[in-house]
Order: sequence, then C-alpha cells, then structure tokens
Amino acid sequence: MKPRSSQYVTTREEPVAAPPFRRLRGYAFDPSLSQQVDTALVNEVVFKVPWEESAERLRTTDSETETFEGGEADEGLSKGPVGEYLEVIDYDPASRCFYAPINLDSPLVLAQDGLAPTEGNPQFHQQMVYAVAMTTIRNFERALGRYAFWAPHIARSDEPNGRSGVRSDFVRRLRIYPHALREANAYYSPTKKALLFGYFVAPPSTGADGHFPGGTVFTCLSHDVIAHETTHALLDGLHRRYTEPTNPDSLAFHEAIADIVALFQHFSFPEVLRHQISRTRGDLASENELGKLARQFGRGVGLHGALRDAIGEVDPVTKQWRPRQPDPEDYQRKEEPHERGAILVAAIFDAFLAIYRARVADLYRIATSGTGVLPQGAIHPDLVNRLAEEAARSAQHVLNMCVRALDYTPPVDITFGDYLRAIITADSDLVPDDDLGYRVAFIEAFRRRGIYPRDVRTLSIDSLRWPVVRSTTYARKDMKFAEELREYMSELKNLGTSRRAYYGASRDLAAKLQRWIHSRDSAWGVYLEEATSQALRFQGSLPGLEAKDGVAVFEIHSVRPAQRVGPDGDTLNHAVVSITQKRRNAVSESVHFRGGATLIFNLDTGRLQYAIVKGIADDARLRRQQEFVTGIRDGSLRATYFGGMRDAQEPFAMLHRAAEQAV
Amino acid sequence: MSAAIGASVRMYRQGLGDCFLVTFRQGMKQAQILIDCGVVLGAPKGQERTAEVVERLAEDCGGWLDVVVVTHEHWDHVSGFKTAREIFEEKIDIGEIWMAWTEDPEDRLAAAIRRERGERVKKLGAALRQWQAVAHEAVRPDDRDDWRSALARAATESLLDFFGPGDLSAKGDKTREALSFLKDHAAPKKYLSPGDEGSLPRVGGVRVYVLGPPRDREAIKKDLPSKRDPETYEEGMRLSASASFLAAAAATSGSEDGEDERYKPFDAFFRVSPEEAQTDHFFVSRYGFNAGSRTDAPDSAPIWRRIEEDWLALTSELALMLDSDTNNTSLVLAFELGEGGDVLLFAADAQVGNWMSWDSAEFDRDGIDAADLLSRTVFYKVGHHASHNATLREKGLERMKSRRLSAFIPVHQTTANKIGWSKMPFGPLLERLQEKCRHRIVRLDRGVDDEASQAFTRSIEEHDLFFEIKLGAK
Repeated sequence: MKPRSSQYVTTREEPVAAPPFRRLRGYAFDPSLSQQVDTALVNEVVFKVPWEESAERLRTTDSETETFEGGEADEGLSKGPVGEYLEVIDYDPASRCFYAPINLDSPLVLAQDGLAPTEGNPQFHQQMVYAVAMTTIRNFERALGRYAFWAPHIARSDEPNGRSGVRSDFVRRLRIYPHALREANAYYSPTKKALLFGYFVAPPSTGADGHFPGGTVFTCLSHDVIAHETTHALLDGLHRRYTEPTNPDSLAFHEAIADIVALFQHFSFPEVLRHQISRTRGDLASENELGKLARQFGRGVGLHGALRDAIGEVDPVTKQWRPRQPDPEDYQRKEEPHERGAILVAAIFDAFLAIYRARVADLYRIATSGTGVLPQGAIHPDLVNRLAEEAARSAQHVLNMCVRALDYTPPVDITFGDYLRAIITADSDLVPDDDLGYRVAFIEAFRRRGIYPRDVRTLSIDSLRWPVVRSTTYARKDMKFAEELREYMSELKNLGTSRRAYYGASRDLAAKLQRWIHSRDSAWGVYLEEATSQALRFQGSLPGLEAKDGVAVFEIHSVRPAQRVGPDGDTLNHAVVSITQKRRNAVSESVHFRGGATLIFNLDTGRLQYAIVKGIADDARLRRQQEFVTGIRDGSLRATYFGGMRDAQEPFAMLHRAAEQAV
Repeated sequence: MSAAIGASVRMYRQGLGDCFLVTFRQGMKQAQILIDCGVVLGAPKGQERTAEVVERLAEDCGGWLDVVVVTHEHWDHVSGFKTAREIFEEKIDIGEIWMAWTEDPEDRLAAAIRRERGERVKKLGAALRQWQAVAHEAVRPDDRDDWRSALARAATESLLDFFGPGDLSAKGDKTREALSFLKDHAAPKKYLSPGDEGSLPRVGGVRVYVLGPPRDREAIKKDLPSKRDPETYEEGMRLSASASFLAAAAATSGSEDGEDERYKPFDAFFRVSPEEAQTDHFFVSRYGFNAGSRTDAPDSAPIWRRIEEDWLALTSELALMLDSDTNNTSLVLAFELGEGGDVLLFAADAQVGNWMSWDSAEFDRDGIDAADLLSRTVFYKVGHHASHNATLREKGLERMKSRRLSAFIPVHQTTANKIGWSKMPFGPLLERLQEKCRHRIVRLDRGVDDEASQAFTRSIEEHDLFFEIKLGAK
C-alpha cells in the first residue's frame, strides 16, 4: 500500500506535513457505559483515524495534482463525512427529515478532537460511525496488505449490439445511513452497498443497572454494531458468495467474522484495556466488558446482559454471570446463524486467551516472585500497563491472523473447518517459526468445540495446512505456459496507486486470465484442472454446467495481490485469484450449485502455491447441500409465510431481526 | 352402562381454511357440532365454494347444529359466517355457541387483548398502505430487488388478510363482522378456558375438555420456543419498540402527527425537511431527488442506493407477530368418547405457546391431563394447515400413541403456494404424521394419502364437497 500522505505537498508558506491521524472522540462501547460511575471515564476514547486531507484544501493548494481517472474530482474528505471509503448521509425517512452533515475540517471541530460524545446531536452520530468504520477498514487493510474494496454494483448494461449484459461497476464508497430505520436492528445491504442503522425506544428496564426507560437506543452509537456491520461489508467485498446459505456454517461465518472484528477492536483502546485489566486483575477469562458485544442494544431488547458474550452468559435463574464451558454438542445442534457463529467466536476468543496467558506468564512470575499467586487487592499499575500491552498485542495478532486467513478460504461454501485450515496455512506462511504456540492455541480451541475440518486425518499443523500444489507438469513441459504465468505475475505486482485504478487493473487482469483459460491453444485450462484436482472443469460436461464455444463457463471473481511482512522481516509476495463455476439449478429448482477455487500464486517463485477448492463435480458436497437446502432447517412462522421467497428480504436484515427473536 | 358412542368427522372442501362438522352418536341420539367455517382470502372461488359448502352443511345437519365452535378470529376460520350468512340465517338453527375466553365481553384480560389487537391490525394496515405507496415510487438496484420488495409486501398483505378483506386501514372489521353474526346470535354462548370440561347436549357420554388458549398473556405471545430464558422475552419491549415505528408508519404522509413527534429522535432544531434538502447541494448531489423518474439524472446521486422504503419492511415482521399471537388464542378442544375412551383432538391454529400451556390445564376428573388425552387421541385435526410450529413435537405429536391415529389436514397446497406460503404443508411434519398415522391421513386438497391401506381408503367417504371419517362404534 502506498502511504496516504504522499500526495500532500508542503509549501514554504506552510512547511507542515499532514498529520498521520485525525483524532475523533467517541464511545469505546456505547452510551450506556458512560452512565455508570466506574466505566464513565474510560468509555470516552479518541479514535485515531487515518488522515484524509480536506477536499477543499486539495482543490485550493494542489491545483497541480491530477483529477482521478474517470474524471471524478471529488477527492479528499468533505462534509458528510464523505471520504475515500465512506459516505455518511443522514436521512431519517421515518421522521421525514434529514440531518445536516458534519464538517470534520471545521477549525472548531478539529481543535477539540471532534465533537464530544452525546446522544442528542446527530452530527456526533455521523462522526462516530465514520470513526469506527474507518478504524475497522484500517484493520482490514493492515492485515491484508492492500486496499479494501466494496463489492461491485452489479448492473444490467445495454450493449450496443442490442443484447443486455451484466456489468460489475466499481463502488468507491460504502454508504452509511446512521438513522435509516426505526427499529432494534442494523444491517448491511449487499445490493445498496450501504449500512442501515436503526434506533428504537427502549422498554422499561428490569434491572437496577439498566438504561433510562423510554430513552432512545441508537445502534449507530455502538462501536460493536458499527464494526460488525462494516465487517459484513468488507467480507462481502472479499467474498461475494459468502452471503449464500450453502451449509449450516456459511451465514454463521459472516456473523462470526463480524463479531470477531468488533471484539478484538476493544483491545485497541488503551484506557479501557488498562481499566478492565485492573478490574479483573489481569484475568481476561473472568467477566469483563471486553468480551461482550452490544451491551446497550442487548439490554434495550430485553436481555439481561449484552447481546452476545464471547466468554460467558447470564444465568437465566440467578441473573448472575457465569463462564460458558465449551460444549462440542453445540456445533452439532445450533443452527441459527448468530448462535452458530458464536461458537466460532468463542473458539477464536479462547485461542486469544491462551496466547495472552502464554505471553504474560513470565510477568506474573516476576510480579509474584515465582509463586504465580497474586496478593489480595489491586495489582500494581506498572503490571497493569505491561499486561495491557501484552493483551493489546495478542489481540492485534489474533485479529490479523483472522483477517489474513480470509485470503486462504475457498470462494464458495465456506465451513468453520475450512477457516481453521486457512488460519493455520496463512500463519505458517507468514510466521514460519511459531515459538509462542499461536497455531496450537487455535487448533486446541477449535477441537474443544468439536469443529473439525472434513477430510483431514489428524489435527496437526501439518495436516491442517492446505496442501501445496505439487503437480506442475505443464509448468515444466510447456515453456510458453510458464512464460505466460511469469508475465501475468509481474503484472500482478503493481496494480496502480488509486483504488479505482487498482480496481480497473485487477478487472483487466481477470479478463486476460479469462481469455487465456478460454482459448484452446493455451495450457491454462488443462493446467488449472490438474492443479485443482479437477475441482474446476473446463472440458467435458456436467449437468447444469453451461459451456460457451466448447469451454465450460466460469467466472474470475477477483484477482488480488497480497504483500505482507512477517514479524521476522520475511516478506510474502502473493497473488490471490478466485475462480467460480456454477451448475444451474443443480441443488434445487431455483438454487445453483457453485464450485470453484482460490488460487494462491507465489510471485517470487513464480508458482501456483495453493489451490483451495470446492469441487464443481463433487457429488457428495452437492448432496449435502441439497439436504441442507431442502432440510428441516427452518420451520418458523416466517418460513411458513415467506419461505418461498428467500429473496423477499435483505439477507442480513432478517438475520439480525431473527437474532432479536431468538433470545 | 350406556350405549357405545360413535363419531364422524366431515371436513368440508371450501378451500384452504377450516370447516368441520362433527357428529356424535349414542344409541338413537346424536349431537352435531360445527367447528369453524372459513376459507382464506385469495382461494380460487372461495366465496362460491363456501356458499355451496354451507348449503350442503344445512342439508347434512338437517338445519340444526347443537353447537357452533369458533376457534379464533382469523378469516380462514370465520369467513363463512359473513359471506354465507344468509344461508345460516335462513336454514340453520343453532343450539349453543362456544368460543374461547378471549372473546368473552365480560373478561377484562380478553377485552384488553382484543383492543390491543384491533389497534395493531389497524395500524399495520395503515403502515402497509404507506409501504405500498412508497414502494411504488422506489427504484431498486436490480430486478431481483423489485421482486424482493413486491414479494415481501404481498406476503405481509396476505397475513393481514387473515383479518378479512377490504381496505387496508379497515382491516379487522370484516372478521369482526363475521364474528358478530355469532356474537349477536340469540343462541346461548359459552366462553371456554383451559381446565373447563363438560358434556354435549343430548349425547351425555361425550366429555369435552378445553386445553387452550392459555389464560396467560405471555404464552399467547409466543410463536416459537424461546431458546434461552423464557423470561427474557419481555413483551413490553416489543410493544414500546414497535410503537415508535407504528407512530411513524401509520401516520398519513405530510400530516404532523402529535404521537409521532414524541418519537422523533432529535430536537426540531436539527431537522432538515425534505423540501429544504432538495435545495441543498449536499443532499442533492449525494442522495438525490428525482421522484417518479426511474433513471438517474446526470447530476444526481444514483437512485438505487436510496432508502425510502427499507424502514417500512418492519411491517411484515410485526404482521407475523400479530398473526402468531392471534393463532395462539385458538380454542383447543378434546372430545372423549366415553370415560377412558378414544379422543378427538381439534387444535385449530394453536402455535407453540398454546400447546406448551396444555400441561397446566387442570381438570376436575382424576387422571385426566393433556398427556393422557393426547395418548388416547385417535383423530387429530392438524393445526394451522400443517405448518411447522403449529404441531408441537415432543409434547404434542409424539405423545399421540394410539395405533389407530388418523389425521385430517385442512390444507390446499396450490392455494398456499399461490399466496406464497411454500412451507404449507411443512414437509418434515407431513412425513412424521405419515409415520405416526401409518398414512391414515386425509388432505383437503388431495384426499386420502396414496399409501394408506385399502381398508382406510374404503372407510373414507369422498364427495366433491367433503371427506368424512367414521370413528368409534358403528
């Protein structure tokens, strides 16, 4: 990634470089923690958001700089906020009004780190969603080592020859509507490429520590809800097909990743972290705010505690918090996406705790002269600081591992087991020496919850790693092919500096690969069939698999380079290409069966390193999917009346409303 | 010892809906009971078929019904009392009318539930009307989204149709009208609560046990078993949360509604009206306003990202809740043919909350409880047209142990599918019913199960207007 501030020129009149960050105040969790004496002080934090230069400044001082390719002149950050990645537009259709956009570059706002947190001013709400969403995007970009993209807008295009085709249009900004709904809900709309947040009136509270009865709960003021929904959008940008329910894990996976990102971002607020470490005396497995999600929302919809909790739950009878024991049965039994996703979240959080414990074991020994037993009372502030540091580092590592692994997952039909393999492989590639036992911690945590990958003989790191593609018959035999491959990879190394240019270059490369595979005289098709163990099919026929000019139809979903630096200074130079195919209506009358492969090229060695596949000809998988789709999974009243119309709702809207009902 | 008791159940074929004539015989005496009479809105020729059915009913019962039972306030159970009212008035005399305690005008809880329901029906009707108006103008990202929106609205409308045909803002009135025929009828009324038991006029050997609806607000509100703490489902939440939505959704556009004002999240100071926004460069270039046009204006933001109608989709959610709440007010009756004898179970459209409550019904007679009655059930009128959550598994169907169990399902699959209810009947439930009943099943639309035994098939009387089964002594 290019440094973002490189485009700004310092002048003699103003010999000051742009700051790296824009400081914006906000809630670490949500407004409810500001109403409690012990958390009020730490709940207000300053988000350090990557600096986006003001649009106005760019126009006046930087007349030399080019306008964007495509003639889009709106560069930099303008009111809304509208920046490179996001556009916040505050329309409240239920109240039939708009709210004026905040100007983050106003001197008054700049001088005080943004507006002070408040529920009563919509402009603070706009600032909050911008700050949290940008933080989330930043975390993704850092882990993936490239720009984040939103899913393209699929539009019908009328071509000159009178035929209508389908076009994938670049979507530069994710749109955010902070007050779009008047209900206890918030969701990402994959078709609008927008986040819609709701607000609702909370009922009279049941507990003494509850919220203001009849007060309004704004989902757009909850860090967790914003991070969760932004992650849905980011994941959709990476893997468009993950919104399709193909197995019990698929939708749960979306939810789990969204929760994981929200959870681990809690650890990036130093004051909060120190406060919670001090309160729990460093034991993060005991009840604490860091492991909870959407507290105010949870209470607002009538739960006794947070909406979700990665480590514990409130006992329905005693109303007391208790840690949750991992139960392998859960993975067999729970099917509702949020509940099932919670199993994956708990596993990842468990791995995090193991890593944290390993990292602080020595600190505890030092602090206790080797006994490991802390004396009664508060722990020393220095120890708090050191523990907090380790917790923050562990959390950042785990979050990076979880996000990086998303490049190592199959393009369709993901399962939790696939994800474990992706985490292990991605981490092994980047960090060859696992001296702190991170990978074992993950495997152990998954095993304790009964999450096993299919087709793996043992749960060792070696067998969990995706197999390295061995057969290179064509690469060896066919010099022309090897040349093409090298040429292709050299183009992959540099895709341009702006997000739009990068997107365009990536589409061009996809088109090039498309042509190569399609042409009969190239070796690509044959080679890829072989390398993916026939998971992709270009020749021959399968029921429902359409062909064009004798070659089976396929789609290059994305071509994306991944450059990463490991802790030992090793750099990885990879490119990820995902190819999918579909067998029309093979699952049921209206459901396609999809297969495909995620191909990971090593740009240094010039080889295809991994082919992570879901076979298009895999009949066993097809049968499983048929059973899943036609199965007894959903007999709710909703399914009775709306069941025939999977398309009748926003996919995530229903998930989120369902969560509310499932409590 | 009195003479053996026999019974026959006649399921009329007016379409997707319930209409059953149950005749009990003991020696020379007999009692005739009508349970519901309705067809879903949208069923082909529903009204005409119902008229034919009621004509036939008048003949079948010889112009006399000992009891008319109305299970709950849904169009597909009561429409006949309105659309074929004249036939009822002219040709059929009624001995007694039985309804659930929830219809009792003297009962305060019932009155509160009814009032609240009436209010909700009206507001949801208005919300749906606004949704339709807004959706009509909206332009969506693609055709599939057009579909999506249209389907969701259609499904919501069909849910509200349970409260009868007519203008959306007048929903509920027609169903109440249908009920009023019975409520204003001269025949004496009984309002039944769980734990009530009694006998039928003239055929003293038949005992009637009332299992539902529960006298418990919470149970009525429950359509699915709660996955965690049942107490966490605070009804207050649903109401107050939806109140702020309905205040806005049910308000007619343009008018400043006082109630809605209370729910607006920010002071008037912050609000920019749509008219002002249309002259503001930021909103014009970023959000865009070109209502009525389906193509993007060159200098305006793309239409497909606008959110005019999204917030109104909650209407369908609230309509679902309302529907399940109403289903849970179903009157559930078990008829026992002589002491310790066979049981006929009519579960109306009871959903989980109702089924779960049966165990707490206490009867005077020793040894009688829900488990016992279910274990002796030989005939089951399948709940809610065989949708999933209207037949409880462990504490319901699995408790029916009789080897002679048979079931009638008042379902019409093509109609259900046409309206968009693809899971009616619900496949897995149907399969389990077939196992439990060993295919002794009759469906309103398809007749006797294909795999039923010859003997069973022969025992069912089939007619263009009904199916009939004979039970107990000949």
